[in-house]
Amino acid sequence: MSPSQQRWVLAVFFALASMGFLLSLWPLSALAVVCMAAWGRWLFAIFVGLLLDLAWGAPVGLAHYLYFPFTLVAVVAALARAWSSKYFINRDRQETL
Amino acid sequence: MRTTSRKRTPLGSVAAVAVAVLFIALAIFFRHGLATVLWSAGAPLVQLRNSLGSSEVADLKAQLASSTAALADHDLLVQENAQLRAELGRQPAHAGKKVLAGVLQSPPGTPYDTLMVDAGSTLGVAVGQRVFAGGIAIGEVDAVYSNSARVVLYSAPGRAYQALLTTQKGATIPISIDGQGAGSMQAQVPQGTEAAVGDTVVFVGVEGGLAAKVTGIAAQESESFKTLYLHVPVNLFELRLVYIEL
Repeated sequence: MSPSQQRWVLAVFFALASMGFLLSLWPLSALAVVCMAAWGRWLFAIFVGLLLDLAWGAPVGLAHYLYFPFTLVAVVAALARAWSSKYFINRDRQETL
Repeated sequence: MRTTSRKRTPLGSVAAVAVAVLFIALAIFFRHGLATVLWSAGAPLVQLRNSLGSSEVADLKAQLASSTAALADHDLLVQENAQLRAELGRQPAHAGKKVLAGVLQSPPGTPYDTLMVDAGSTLGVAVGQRVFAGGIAIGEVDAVYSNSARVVLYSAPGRAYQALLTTQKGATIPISIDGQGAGSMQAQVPQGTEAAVGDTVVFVGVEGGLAAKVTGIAAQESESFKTLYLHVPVNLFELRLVYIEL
């Protein structure tokens, strides 16, 4: 995938996260953050997760100790991608002569 | 599945991790300030989106939600009036100054049982102030920004409050209510308590006010307690306006 196509994909994910905020659909924002991190742009996913956590504040009740849940989701998704890349992603490169 | 997999040098990875840690540290130490800036920019966008999505049906639903809440509060006030006639010189509960605030986001749109409203510190809103809808206390201000604020609803999961169950037969029983989210709460009472669907639950204190109504009861004869299912008599999903008591 060319760099410009990658940027378009990233822009789509960011737009999804923004739509989730504007349309009051937090699962859509969470999904966009996970997709960004799984796509490989974990730094950008953490940044967007932080923005969402700043906007919606810390959770209420016992979950308050999570403090930054959307950011945590981004970190977990990034770690999952890092782990899975060792075993699943791009393991079978198709090379053409 | 091929995904992006840019190969970073070790130095690049360290730099990326350092930047991520820096972002997180900034968010931790300057959370309130950054959130204020974010909502200063975001609130007009959300208000614009709300105005585009409004329709006559939505407006009528919002008015109906307010009217239903006001009616429930009126019933309680009539009951309290008979008791307050004997009181001397006490100010009514809601004689304080109030600020009208528009609801920017409400459950289930927000991930926690919270409201985002468009009144902030510039209008005198402060943390801990009670928020009312149709005369019914629905929550408290949890975080204040310059032009917006976050309200945690009393029904938020993990929250517990002391309240009084007022039965239709006139008995008053102290209970502890636990938030279950989205306007629902729960309480445990001894098995022999004469509670019925429709009983009211009020907060403790002169400024208590209506908290919820009993909408269901789960009782098993072998158990020592029965569970009262409570619900705020306000449609939180259709709320457009709330009052914040300064």
